Amino acid sequence: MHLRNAKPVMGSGWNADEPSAQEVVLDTMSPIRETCLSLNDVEEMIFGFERKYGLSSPDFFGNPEAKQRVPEDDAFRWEALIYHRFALKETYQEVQSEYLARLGRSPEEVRADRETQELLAA
Amino acid sequence: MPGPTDDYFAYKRWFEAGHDALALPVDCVEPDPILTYTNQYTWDLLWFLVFTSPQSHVCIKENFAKIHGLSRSRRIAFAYHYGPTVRSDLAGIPDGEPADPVFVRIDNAGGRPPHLHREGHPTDHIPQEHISGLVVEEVDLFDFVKAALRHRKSGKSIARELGFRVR
Repeated sequence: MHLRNAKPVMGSGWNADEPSAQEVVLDTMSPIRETCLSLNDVEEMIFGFERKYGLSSPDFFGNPEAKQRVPEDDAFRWEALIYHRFALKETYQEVQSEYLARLGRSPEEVRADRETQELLAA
Repeated sequence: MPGPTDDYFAYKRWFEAGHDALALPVDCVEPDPILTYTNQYTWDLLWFLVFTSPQSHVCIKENFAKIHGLSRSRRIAFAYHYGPTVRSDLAGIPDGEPADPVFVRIDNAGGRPPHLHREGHPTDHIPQEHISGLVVEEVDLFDFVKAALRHRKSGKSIARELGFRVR
């Protein structure tokens, strides 16, 4: 993990108009790291929690006593992963439905449909 | 609700702006904040600020997911933690347990309604009905971080800096 130390860049703190040494603006804050998860990533991490606590995800959510045994930080992450999995599966289903719908149509129909959508969006 | 919930892009712009505007003390080490997303409406944030003198840290976590049937998101869970650092992992990231001491923690973890943990009583869940001066669910994460920074500097209690009382 990348760690960045604070570096004072705005004055020495001796001037009353300048921030003191204890309150300085960083020259550059740590960059925000963006991570895009795939369904495989999510499934693997969920499986990791299930194995670690000997619980299936439905048991984890459906059994309050079991949930209490999982430390809050892990419970928090596990729950987030379940929502990520739901979002990914929903997206995959939409893509698959659209793909299957197009399979049954001729290329001309697909092209005409796309042009209609472009016109509507314009 | 603190922070935009329209979608990931609106939230990211809001977070970047607030993050860049922060003034951090020189003893603060900041691991890169991590935004993890799977689609436009589902994302989570993990953000640490680690202080070395005295050893303490802020940990901000929140999860967002799509509102079914709507092109909008909502916050599913949040945990804003500020407290002494008891242990860290090999990368220097604080690693905590529920019984570890806190200065203050607000969250809705474990399926509970939004509540507060106060100094000296880390495992007690104080519900909103027993808190005045602060609506736990509406605390902006940057307001929480700024209160922690003021607490370190002023020596006043974190309750005073965040503006709450426990009844």
